Amino acid sequence: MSARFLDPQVLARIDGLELLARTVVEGFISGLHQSPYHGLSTDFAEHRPYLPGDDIRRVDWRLWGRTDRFYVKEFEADTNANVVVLLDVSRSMAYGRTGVTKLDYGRYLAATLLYLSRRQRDRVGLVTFDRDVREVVPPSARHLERALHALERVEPGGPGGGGGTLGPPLARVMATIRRRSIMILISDLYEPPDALAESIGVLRGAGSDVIVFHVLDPSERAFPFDEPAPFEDLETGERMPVVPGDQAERYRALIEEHLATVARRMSETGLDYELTMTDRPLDYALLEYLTRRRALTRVR
Amino acid sequence: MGFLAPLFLAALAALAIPVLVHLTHKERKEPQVFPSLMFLQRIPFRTRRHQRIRHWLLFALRAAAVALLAAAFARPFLPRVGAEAGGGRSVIVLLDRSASMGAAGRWARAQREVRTAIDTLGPGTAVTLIAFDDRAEALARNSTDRTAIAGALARVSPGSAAGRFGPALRLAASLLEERGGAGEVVVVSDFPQRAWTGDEAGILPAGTHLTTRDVGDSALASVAVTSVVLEHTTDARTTVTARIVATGGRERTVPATLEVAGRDVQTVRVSTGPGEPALARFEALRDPEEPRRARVRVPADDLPADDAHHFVFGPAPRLPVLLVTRPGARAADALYLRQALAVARDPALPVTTRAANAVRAADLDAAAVIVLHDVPFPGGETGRHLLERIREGAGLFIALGAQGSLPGEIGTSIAPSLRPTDRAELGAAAAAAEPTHPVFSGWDGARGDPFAGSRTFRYRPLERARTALARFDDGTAALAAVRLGSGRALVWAADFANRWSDLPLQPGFVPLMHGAARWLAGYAPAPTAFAVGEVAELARPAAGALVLERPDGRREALDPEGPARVRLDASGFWLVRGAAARAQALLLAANVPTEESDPARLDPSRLGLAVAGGTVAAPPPRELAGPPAERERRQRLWWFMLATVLVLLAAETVIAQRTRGIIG
Repeated sequence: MSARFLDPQVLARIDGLELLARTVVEGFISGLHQSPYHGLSTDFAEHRPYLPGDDIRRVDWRLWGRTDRFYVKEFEADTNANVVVLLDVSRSMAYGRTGVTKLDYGRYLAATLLYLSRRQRDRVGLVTFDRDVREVVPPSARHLERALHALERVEPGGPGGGGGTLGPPLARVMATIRRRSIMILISDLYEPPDALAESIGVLRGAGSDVIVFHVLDPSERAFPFDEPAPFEDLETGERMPVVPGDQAERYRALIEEHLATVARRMSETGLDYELTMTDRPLDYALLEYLTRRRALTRVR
Repeated sequence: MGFLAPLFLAALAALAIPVLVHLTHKERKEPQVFPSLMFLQRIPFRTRRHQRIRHWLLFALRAAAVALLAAAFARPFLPRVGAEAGGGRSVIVLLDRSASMGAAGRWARAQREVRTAIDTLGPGTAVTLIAFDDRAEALARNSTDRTAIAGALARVSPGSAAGRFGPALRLAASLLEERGGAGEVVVVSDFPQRAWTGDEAGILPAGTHLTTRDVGDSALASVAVTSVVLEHTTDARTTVTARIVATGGRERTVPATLEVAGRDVQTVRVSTGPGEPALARFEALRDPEEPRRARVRVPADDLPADDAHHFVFGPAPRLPVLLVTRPGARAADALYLRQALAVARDPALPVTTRAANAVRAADLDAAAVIVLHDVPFPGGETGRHLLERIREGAGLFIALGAQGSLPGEIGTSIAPSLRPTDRAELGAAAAAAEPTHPVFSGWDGARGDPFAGSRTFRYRPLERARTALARFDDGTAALAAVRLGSGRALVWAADFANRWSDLPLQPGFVPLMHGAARWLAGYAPAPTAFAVGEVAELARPAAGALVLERPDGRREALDPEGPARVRLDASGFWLVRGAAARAQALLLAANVPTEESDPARLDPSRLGLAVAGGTVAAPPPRELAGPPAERERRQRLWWFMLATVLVLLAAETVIAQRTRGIIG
């Protein structure tokens, strides 16, 4: 597996999310020893040549007997799950000190997950939101391009899009997506852990599976500032003078405590939670997703 | 390390700037965007943590740059570096101790300058300290003993003499030449214009470095009594007039007091201003019987040395004249001569008339000048005594007339004709042959010839006169001079009775007689006062030594084998006594030279350029003059300091750019 195309800073140079997603996913998959695709439907669709990594159980032996070539069976995905990516596009997501903002990272992650899911025959959908739902691409087997296009156009925090909590937009999402789905939430989760658990827990209302990618910039944990300066809240525009120093240590302690609490509360609520830093290659997130996805399949 | 301009060190207070910068960092104007402030606490800027100095390296660079900048402007120098601390170097310090250095504050400044000049020298540098006025005296020669030099400096004080650069520079030049040529000379003076005569140019060896320390000031306000004139009247009284000169300040009225024998006699008020001398006239005083100490003084001011003028107030000088006439001669025969002599002043010429046959030895002894008018030279004992008096110094004036004759010693050199020459019709004109002779001193050239207008109708030609002071129009000598021993004699070819010649009726007659009497008696007016530095000639007593009593009361005996003269080197009254108990004392008065009251000052740079043969640059300004300034110029430490400042600032810029969060 090559991490060359999985480094977020390298991905930032690729123009076009579809190309980006294909590059990541194909590169990622080619490095795996086992094919990640799992056809869950029994409705035959077509044959295709066997590819290394395909499960040999799916080889059509009869056809091999007639043609002396290996083919595997492809099935219609009408029984595949809905995969809906919920991308937080609030202003706080526009933050980034490593060359890639959290929103960029979230877009890359969303695109690759959607692409990967579509390759898995899942129906893919996209919801962007800040304090309110900004755009909804309903889950469909044909909505990958639309979802990627929506991701291309996404801007952080539109008018009146700053601040707020996750609760209202997520509740509105649940009102539009009633079918059981795999919900992938990508956000920086700047809310009290209890409020987060309550807001995100709503997503489980229709029996959906929820995977939370908590995206943070490394500086949000390390707090490497040492210059006294006014700090401006990206969400609210509020400013306050901050003198780093002893305060930095205190901040680090608070943020770590917050992360630990969030992880615990997510676990308690039955949510899959993954903390992802924007300097971390995307394959970690993809691998995490596939692991969760496989577990969900087995459960099913 | 020393500093030429230590006031610039006050700029070290600027060190507070980097301290404050590092303690009170300003808030960055550009806000730092951050996703959420939920974990950040609002805190005030001035916290304990905030007031700690951060970035010590940058702080040290900035503080060092500021400190070096202040030190560079203070013109630093190292007083003891390299060869300067070792032996071999020698500096000559010339300290002016003339009377003008006694002005308020000058002497203290001069001593301070000398101490500063010496203190900044290395311990191995030999110092020669020379004090000078119109003479130069080495107080310490080539000495490295700073204590001894300081002691010598403490013992010297301003004197009463005039200042002259010449003697001091000549002494310095001789010392330099002894050590092989050029050296360093420091002149500490108030640089009066009068001290520079122009002869000092090029005195010092070529290459000598001369620096000047000017301790004078142009704001001096002083009133000086520069001279006193005594006018003797015919009634044995004397009028005293003093000349008062003001320098500096505005016109002012001051009291001038005449003091005689220690008592204030009169006080008058005079108004004077700069450039406007005034005369203080005192009412006539009766002449004392013997010389008295007297002075005219004004109140003390910035320059006390010239506030009083000392003089000797004595009886009017007299030259007794013995007039010898023919027995039975008419009184009118000598009338013109007696009247002419009687009006003489300074000296007075009191006349005693005696018939030729009534002359006594006492008459001859009492007379300074003996006039033989138309009488034969006395014979016998009187004649011999008269000749002896002449040889001892008395004067003899012979008007030949019809009966006059000369003693053999004089007659042989003059050889007057026994047969008169008659010029009855028009008379013979006479004229001075040597108009500059002292006999004619009372008759200046502007008034023509002393004999102008006179006609001599009969005379006895002086056929062999070798020294003819006047001649008739026929070329024969009319007035002849001859010396006899210590005395002098004049021979007039006619008479003074207005019979042979009408000279007594002419305007030139009176001054001619006065001049003749003074010359014959060898008269020289005794000065009422000397200037300090002048030499007084004394009359050596027949036996024993002269004892000198100085103005400060100290007594000293003059060398009996040496010249009988004394150099008056202090102002005040000097007394010269013979060793004999009853010997008459000679009173002398000495005063500060009048030029010491002249405020005109010399540009010190002119002295520096001229005396060293123009080989040295003009000395730096006063505050930078002297060895420290020269040392600072050579070392150029300020240059290295400024270069270091630039390097420090460059390093600070680089480091500050690499260190985020530093307020630049």
